[in-house]
Amino acid sequence: MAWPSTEPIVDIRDLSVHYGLRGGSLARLIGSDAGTVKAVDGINLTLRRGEVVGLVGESGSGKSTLGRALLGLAPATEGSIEFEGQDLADLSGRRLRALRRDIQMVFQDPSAALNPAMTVEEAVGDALRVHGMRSASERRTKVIDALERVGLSPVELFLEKYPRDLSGGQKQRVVLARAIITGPSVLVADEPISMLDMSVRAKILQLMLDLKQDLGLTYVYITHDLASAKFFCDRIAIMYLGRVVEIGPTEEIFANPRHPYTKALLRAIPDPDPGRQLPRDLPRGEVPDAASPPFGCAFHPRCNEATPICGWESRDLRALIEGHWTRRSAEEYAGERSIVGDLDHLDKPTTGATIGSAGSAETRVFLDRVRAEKPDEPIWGGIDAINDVGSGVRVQFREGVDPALRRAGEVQVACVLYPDEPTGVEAAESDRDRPPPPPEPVSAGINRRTVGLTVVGLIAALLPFVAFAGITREFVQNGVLTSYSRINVLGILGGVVAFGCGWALLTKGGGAERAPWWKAVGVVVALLGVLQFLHGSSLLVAVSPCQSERVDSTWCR
Amino acid sequence: MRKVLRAMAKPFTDTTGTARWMLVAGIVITAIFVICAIFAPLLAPYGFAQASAEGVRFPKAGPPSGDHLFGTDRLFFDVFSRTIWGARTAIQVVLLSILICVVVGVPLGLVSGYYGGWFDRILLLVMDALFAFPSFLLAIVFSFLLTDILGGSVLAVALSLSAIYIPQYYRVVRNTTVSAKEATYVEAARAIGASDFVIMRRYLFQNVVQSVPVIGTLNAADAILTLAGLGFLGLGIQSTDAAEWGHDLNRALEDAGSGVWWTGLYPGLAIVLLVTGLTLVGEGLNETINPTLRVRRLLPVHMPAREER
Ligand SMILES: Nc1ncnc2c1ncn2[C@@H]1O[C@H](COP(=O)(O)OP(=O)(O)OP(=O)(O)O)[C@@H](O)[C@H]1O
Ligand code: SF4
Ligand SMILES: [Mg+2]
Repeated sequence: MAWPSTEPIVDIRDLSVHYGLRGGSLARLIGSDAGTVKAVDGINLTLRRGEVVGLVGESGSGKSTLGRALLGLAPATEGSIEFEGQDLADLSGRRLRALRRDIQMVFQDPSAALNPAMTVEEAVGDALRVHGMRSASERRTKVIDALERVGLSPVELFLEKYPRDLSGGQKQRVVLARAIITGPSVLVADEPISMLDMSVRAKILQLMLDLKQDLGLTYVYITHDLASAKFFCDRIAIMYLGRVVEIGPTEEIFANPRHPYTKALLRAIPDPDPGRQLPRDLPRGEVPDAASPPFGCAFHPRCNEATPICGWESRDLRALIEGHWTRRSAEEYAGERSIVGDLDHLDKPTTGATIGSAGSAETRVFLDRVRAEKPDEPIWGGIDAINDVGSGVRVQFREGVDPALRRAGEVQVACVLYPDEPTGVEAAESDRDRPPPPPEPVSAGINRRTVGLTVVGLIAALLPFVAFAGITREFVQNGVLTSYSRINVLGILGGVVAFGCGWALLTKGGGAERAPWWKAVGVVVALLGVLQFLHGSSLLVAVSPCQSERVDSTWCR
Repeated sequence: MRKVLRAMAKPFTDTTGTARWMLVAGIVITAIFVICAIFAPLLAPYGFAQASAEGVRFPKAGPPSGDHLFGTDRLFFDVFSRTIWGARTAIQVVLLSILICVVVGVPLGLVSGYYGGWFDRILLLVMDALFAFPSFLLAIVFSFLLTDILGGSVLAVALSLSAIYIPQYYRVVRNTTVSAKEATYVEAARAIGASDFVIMRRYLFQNVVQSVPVIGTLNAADAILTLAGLGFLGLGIQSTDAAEWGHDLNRALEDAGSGVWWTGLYPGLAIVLLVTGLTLVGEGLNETINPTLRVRRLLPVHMPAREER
């Protein structure tokens, strides 16, 4: 394998992709959000030409979202992605589509990634067709070439086949052929082998390595399987809840894992050698809800090296108490339960948790009992104070630390156990890869689309009034109305357009920041649109009598 | 060529028992009417508005005889000929209206489902309102409006029938589009740089029109009834413009009291038969295309007998 050059090909800076959870349109109007999922949350990553970077993490850690963002398929909420010096966010839809020639994607499920109604030839050739290659015979030559490259031979046998006639491995080869046919330089492979049979996995990975060699590709390899990443990647980025928690050369990650999450993932790799029975445990517990991640270090509820400053909060207290109860008898549980009362309110994350319903003293005794059972839990160190309030106590947690990615030896780690250690050249390098620059001012959220929508909306809303003024003048001068119907149409059309613009402003305006200011503008434009629409259509009603004979004809000539 | 044949034979090969027989019976019945429609000038002994042959006037409301197989009606027309010509009118109207429905409903559903948003919501509202409206009433209103503009032509009736069926095509296509656009292959198409138009045309279209043939045939049956209903009310096509069963039934109403049964029976039978045929085809197709109804043909598995050693 050629050693990757140091020339950066893709540069991801502070990238965030947030998905708004759907509230009602009323909620959106008022501006109260139903919450956001930070699928990708401030990631910095530089791909060097010719290397293979692995993104590893459990389900929901944002791997796919990051990969899709590289193709502009997931819109960046913040930050930038530069490909060969071009920022993807600056590109228009058409230019972005043209750019997808250079960055391509391979999907997890090859059966789903192929249109069931297209033959192999059509499917692979369509990548050329959408980029303007009209001649079918030219396309055919290239398709044959690509299919040969991915090892589907004899090619003639496959050209006319539908995806349903192919095996999983063959389908994935077709997907690969479609991805390489446009001559890309970066390939995002989203779990390309996880849906395949064991027997073909290694072959597909080997094929991908060969393709990389022959075509000079750069890979982003997404997986939750560290074993294949070890075989395949030059560098590995471990992701957890939208962040990179550890990144570094593959050998170093495996030889010397630093982040507790990385260690847990490594322990979970099935050992092919049954003689060496290592403890195999996934990190305890579930991946938390991405819509309201834990305070401090997002990994702390599952971390077995956690410290008092890792961000303890009310939900951890609830988990602790409920864990305690699983080890009690039914009577003990009933007694303790009546002391502490309901715990549901602890689900609302806060650093000041109030519990207890049967008196402060009893609650303290109960907490001491829980503590005595597990005195080593770091959560106890994370408690600043316990104060009496009403019939219970208020547990005050200390403010947690959200560790940034910092250099530690050959890798970078986001964990309080590894404080910063910048030295010499590495310091400069780590500076580049370190997050947060000062937050951008709100005005940066005003983008071209917002301004365009406002201008178009206002013109659409006001133009009919202007036209109407001219006609009014005409009426005053001549005493005759001539062009009612034109105003109707203008008014109705203008109203609809203005309302559309207003609505778009209301829901999508203001760029990333969603400044309330633009909601106000949106409301005004939309209201003007409604007014204009009503005006136009009421004229329609007012005019229709003119069509009948009853009305004085001087009014309706 | 073989692919096309195989695709056409798919409904047969995929069905078993009742479903297959429904399909076959339906296709046979429908085919007979289609043949009548195409070869009406050859099959019918007289024209649909012909009251005399070789200078001899037909009898008024004459009973079935050698010259007039199904008898004649009070306008001196030959009932047999009118029944056959009626097939032509019915098939013309239905084909035209299905064509209009598909041309309007499918693209609307595709665009509305793909883009979503307020355009989708408004269109959905309009279509649901149309759909919720009593369809026959709607047909009456539209044919009133359209016959004013276009006269009592086939086109006018076909258009007013389309108006009541478009919402169904729209709805089905829109809903399938909404779910199909989430498929990975659509994302994959976007990833190779396809534009929205290309995605809709080359990726979604073929996958969302699957159920259109079923709606088409089922609606065709319904459309025959609606057409006859309109004719029965005296709306739509007039006797002298074309032969139309519903209209003939309307005129036969007065005959029934006076013992003239043949003017009503044959057009009525034609309607019943064609509607039955089309419904059978529709249901049969539905069974093959709709996977929730489909019962797969089970082929018995034969294990080779174990060899004695
Ligand atoms: N279109 C979307 N709308 C809303 N939320 C989304 C969307 N796409 C992803 N998410 C959320 O973003 C988070 C990250 O999802 P993503 O698919 O990137 O994870 P992943 O690491 O690829 O997981 P997996 O291993 O299951 O593929 C998840 O919580 C997911 O629910
Ligand atoms: S900061 Fe480090 S030690 Fe603390 S919880 Fe996170 S991973 Fe564990
Ligand atoms: Mg994924």
